[in-house]
Amino acid sequence: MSDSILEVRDLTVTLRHRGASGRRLLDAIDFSVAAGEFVGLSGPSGSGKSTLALALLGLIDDGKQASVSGSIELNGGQLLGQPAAQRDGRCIAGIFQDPVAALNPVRTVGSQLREVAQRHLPRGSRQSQVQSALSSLQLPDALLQRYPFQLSGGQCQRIAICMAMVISPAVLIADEPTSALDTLSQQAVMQALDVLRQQGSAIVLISHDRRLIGRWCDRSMVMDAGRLTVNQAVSEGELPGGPKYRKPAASDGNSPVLRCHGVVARHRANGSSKGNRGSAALAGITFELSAGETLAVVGPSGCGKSTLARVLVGLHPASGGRIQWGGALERPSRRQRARMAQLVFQNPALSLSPTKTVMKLIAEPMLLHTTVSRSQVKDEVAKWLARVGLSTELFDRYPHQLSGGQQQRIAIARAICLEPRVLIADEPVAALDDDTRQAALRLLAQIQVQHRMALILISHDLSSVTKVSDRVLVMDAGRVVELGETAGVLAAPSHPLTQALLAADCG
Amino acid sequence: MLEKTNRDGQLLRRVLLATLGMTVLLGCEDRAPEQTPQLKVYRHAMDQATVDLDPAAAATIYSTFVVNNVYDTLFMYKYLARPYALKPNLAATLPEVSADGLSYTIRLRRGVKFIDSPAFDNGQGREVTAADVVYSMMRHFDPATRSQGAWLWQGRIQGLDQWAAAGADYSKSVSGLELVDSHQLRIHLTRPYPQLPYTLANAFSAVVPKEAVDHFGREFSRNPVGSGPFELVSFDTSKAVLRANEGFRSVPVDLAEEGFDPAVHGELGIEAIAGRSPPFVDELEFHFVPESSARWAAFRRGEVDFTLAPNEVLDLTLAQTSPPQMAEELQTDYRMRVATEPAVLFNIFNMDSEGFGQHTDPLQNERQHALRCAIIAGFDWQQHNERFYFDLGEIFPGVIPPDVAEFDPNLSTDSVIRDVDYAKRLLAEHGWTAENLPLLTFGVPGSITQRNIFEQFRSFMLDIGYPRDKVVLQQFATFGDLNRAWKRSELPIINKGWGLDYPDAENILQLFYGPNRTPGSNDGNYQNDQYDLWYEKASVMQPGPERTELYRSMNRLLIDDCAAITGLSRTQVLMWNRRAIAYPDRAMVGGFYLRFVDVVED
Amino acid sequence: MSRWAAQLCWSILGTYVAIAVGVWCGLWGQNYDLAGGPKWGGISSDYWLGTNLIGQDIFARSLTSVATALQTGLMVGGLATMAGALAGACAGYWRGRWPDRILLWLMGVIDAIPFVLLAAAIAYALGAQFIAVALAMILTLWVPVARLVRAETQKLRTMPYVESAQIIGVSPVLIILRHILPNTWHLLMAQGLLVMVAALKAEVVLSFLGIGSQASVSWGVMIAESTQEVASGRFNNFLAASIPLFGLVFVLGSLADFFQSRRAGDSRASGPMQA
Repeated sequence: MSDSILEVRDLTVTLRHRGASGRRLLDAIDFSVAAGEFVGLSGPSGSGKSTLALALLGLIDDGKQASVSGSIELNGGQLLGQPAAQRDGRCIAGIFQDPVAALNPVRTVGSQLREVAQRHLPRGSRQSQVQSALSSLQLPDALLQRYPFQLSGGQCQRIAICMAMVISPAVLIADEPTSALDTLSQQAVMQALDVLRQQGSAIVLISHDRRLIGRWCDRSMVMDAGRLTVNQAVSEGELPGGPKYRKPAASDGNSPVLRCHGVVARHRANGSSKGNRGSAALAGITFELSAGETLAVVGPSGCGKSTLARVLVGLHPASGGRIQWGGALERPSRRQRARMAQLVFQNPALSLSPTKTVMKLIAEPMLLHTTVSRSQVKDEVAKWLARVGLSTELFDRYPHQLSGGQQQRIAIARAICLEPRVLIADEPVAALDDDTRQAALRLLAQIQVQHRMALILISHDLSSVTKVSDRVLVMDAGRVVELGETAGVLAAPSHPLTQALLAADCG
Repeated sequence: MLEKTNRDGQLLRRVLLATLGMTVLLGCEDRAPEQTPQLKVYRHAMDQATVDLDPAAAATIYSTFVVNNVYDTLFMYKYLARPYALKPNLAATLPEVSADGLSYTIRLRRGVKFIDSPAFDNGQGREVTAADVVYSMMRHFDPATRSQGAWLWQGRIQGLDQWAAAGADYSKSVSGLELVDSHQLRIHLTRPYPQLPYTLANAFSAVVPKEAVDHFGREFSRNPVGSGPFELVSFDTSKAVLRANEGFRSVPVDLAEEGFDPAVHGELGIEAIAGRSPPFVDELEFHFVPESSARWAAFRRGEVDFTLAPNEVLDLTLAQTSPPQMAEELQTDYRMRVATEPAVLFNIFNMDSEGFGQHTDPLQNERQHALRCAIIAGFDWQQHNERFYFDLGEIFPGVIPPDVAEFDPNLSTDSVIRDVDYAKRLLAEHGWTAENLPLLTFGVPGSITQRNIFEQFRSFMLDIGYPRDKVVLQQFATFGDLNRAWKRSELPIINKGWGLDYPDAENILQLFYGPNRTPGSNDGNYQNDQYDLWYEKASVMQPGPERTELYRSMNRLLIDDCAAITGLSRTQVLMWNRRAIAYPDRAMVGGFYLRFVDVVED
Repeated sequence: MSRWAAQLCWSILGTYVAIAVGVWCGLWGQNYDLAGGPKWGGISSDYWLGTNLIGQDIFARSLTSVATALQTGLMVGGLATMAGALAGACAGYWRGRWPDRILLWLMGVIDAIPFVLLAAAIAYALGAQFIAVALAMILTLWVPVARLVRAETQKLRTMPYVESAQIIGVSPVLIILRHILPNTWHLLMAQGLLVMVAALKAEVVLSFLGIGSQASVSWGVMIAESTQEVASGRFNNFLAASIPLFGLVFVLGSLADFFQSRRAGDSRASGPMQA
């Protein structure tokens, strides 16, 4: 590779623990990237993908917490040992999973974009460069007047790419840029990255989604346990797939455990001022759920699926309609509701109190709601840990000491130990890598069968949930646009949105 | 009168100091000396602001110093004579006293006029008459006046209290205040009150015209209309400006009559005023500067002519303390007088208190008497004086201070000389041990000097064998709180200062008269039948050797009963600019001196 | 703040604590109130830092003042931080509802009263004693803590783990105690130290005004004593109080900075390990 612009040789990052060397996060990584190349990097959680990204961006110091050795050369110049602050952003730039966090919430995106331009571009060409970047990414000018929180995740991510484009870096490292986005936004972001590549920047795309890499990248690298195990060109049509999910037992058509009729909810108005009620988030949702049934709720970002979940578990007030639990109950107490419905969040790392041990996290709901005494609770916790496939060694660990998959299992254990009638999982696997994702879905299915819970799986990704669901509910703008047996909907989608979702998924 | 304005300053004053101090400082600097050069101005600095110029409210020296110079009282104190002596002022002569001591006939000087004021019909001041004197006294008993000085005559003058009780109607006359003619009145007493002439030299008794009180109403306190040598020009929180009253009567100064003594006053240049009639200056200014360092700085810059030397500069001001002498570099510009205050500092035992007081059981009474005497013997007045009063205070036995005519210079000083061995022996002989000594609570208002005073006291007590945990401090937020605790008889020791309202030892001896027990003025609840008998006898006697002897006997009785750890008269270091010819005095009764101040231009 | 500087701060603080423990155990500084020495005595073998007006040992008084300062600081710092944390968490949790409105109103009122006046008023009401002074300090110093915790709670309130606790059916009070307050500990440590600093400084001001603690001695008392001495050129009392006071305030302030920077440091450090 004579035209390579980025050469990484023997890059090793070792964690230091109280002065002594500990685990190797990166182990003798060797690779190179050519100008205009689109490289995909995948691997399971903890394989070192993000560490590599941070190391390339110069965000890991060779210091007290980690030692860094080897070499990173960009256009023949050594980068290692240069702190990030002293590097020029035009060498290697990065965009990350959460684009909203990368933008200053109190300034318009336009002013932030201009600031980047001011720092990196000569005076004369600024305006035209920003304009051309915006137009090549098909972002309307009106967006520039908005604040980050007024934009969708996909729009924020494209603004971030736009900033990178203004800089026109030699290499752009994109760490899971699309994993928090729905399929349609995902496509727009990937197209934006491709535009940047066409302008001559090399792109390193880090993703656990091998299909995405197969579709967009020239070359695929796979990491495992800190080593680069695969580094090969992607051949057309090759899609790295995973094992198929086992279809769980179908529902047995009992009386419904949950009946929603015309449920209406409003967006929470900013602040708490009365009078200024928010716009409608749910505009009349009606469906039923039987015991043991799995219902997939899909739709694009902002369609109201998360609000629906929050309304069901009582985090968000419903302003109209009826929700009946177990046939009759309409106004459950805090205790009753806890045993009716539980929610598993999208981001397991954030859904566990960082200052509580695993033991305390799982014991808390049981001590509150069941007759389990303090002396028995340890055995009970062990039982539930075993059920989600974890060992009792984790008893005294804190959430940040666990992997993403482990965190999600703890979150699931915490939700199911009350044996709720309905378990709601809001994008339960979006933040996990492929293998972990499948294991988690299998676990949910298994538990559902064991405890005869009804399961509501919420996702933007049609393909990941339809494999396990009995029925599919498609939402758009707070309404149900399609509801039916999974197989039927997949075979003959009636609504254009469902068709678009299916198309994006397969394309 | 109780000294509310002790040198440590009170809490509020400190709080205010922080905020006002700067303002006042700036205020001083702003004042450009723009007086036209021919005017003679004397500027007097005071450590607190005068708030009320109504004589009925003249309870503090800050008021009396102004009131005494814009108003007239019937009598006043001689300029230079010490101990203080009375002379006529508005009165033509000293009063004639009837043989039974119950009637005082007073003739007024003729031709004395109030200053011009819109309060009068044609705006011009009218002559002062005996009716004005009578009105001014009745006014104190009118509840509408809210007088702070009525206690001077309460129950003393025939019919006056009844007149007040009947609704204070000025159209009705009071039998005890008889108008003989337009310039003569006769005061009839309910019982002999030999201190009456003194009360008629007090600023409370200043003569006011009824027209002005009616005309100004509540504003009277800021619009004085008097017959004194000065009249008020302006008055605010930082300054009061007085100007010479051009219509002031001619009263040429007779230096011999005023008590001039070349040995004492010879170097002050006071001879210059002989034969001339006050006032000698065109303007008299009072500058209120609460913050002592700001006051001192203003004095050193020549912005004020008089100040009390603040404690923190005494060190630098005095070359030596006994006899006091000013530092040499200051002598060219300033004069100094170390004045003993007509006041007593003492720690009175509360005779009602558990363990320390008088007891009905003779044996226990004897033990507790011994305990009091031991505490007195353990107290080191010399060190107290050295540490807190720069060794300038005057220590004396008993309660009659040296500035009073009845002071006994031959009294044994044993009771003010420390004797730790004697104290320990007394305690041991009477069976007092560390275990059975009673708790000794020492109440002070919250200030750092008061804390130090307590800690020194505790140290003295440790020396005579008092256990540390039995000498405890009780801090009070304000002097008022502490005073209330005394009045409720809650503390075993009343550590107070008493400034004399008039130069008669009776004013201090009454503090130990049985029937005056709390909530009266006898804070220590001292009770001795012999003492009470003597007091009753002396209190109706005109001054004379016989009464003096009675006073001294009572004083000795207090010492023998170990009624108080006593005593000390504080001194004040008064400093004034050499351009001023004056014999300053800062005592309650001394404000008249400002009438005689002159200024020489350099 | 570098590790080296932090360690230095900890060891200085340790020295202060050791001095205070020594005072509490009666090892030194016991005769701070004996007035046996000369008036304004100089430095000597008996009196290492000289004596004050009434002949007390300035060195012993300075040592005892360390204990007084730590006692005041810990009590006021601890209680004000706890009160502020609880109030702030309640206000933040029920943002916009009546607990929040009442607390905001109360904080506004307290903020509007100058501290010294409030302290003076409380001292008037309770009589000038230590408990009044401490109460006055706690009453004012919990406010900034509460404001900060309120803001932090509003942020944490939307964290999935707090919502998860809600779904599990944990009562609001328990959510505040178990899931919100423990996650503000770095904030509370920093605030607690800053409250201690404020308490120390307030103690000096109040003692100067004559409303300070009375049973014992404190730097404020010493500085108040020294005001008359400094004018005549005697600095022993002033320096013996103000230098250790400055040292303690500086160290506590630095440690507060250290805790405040801790959080940012933690998340940065956890980045590479989480990959």
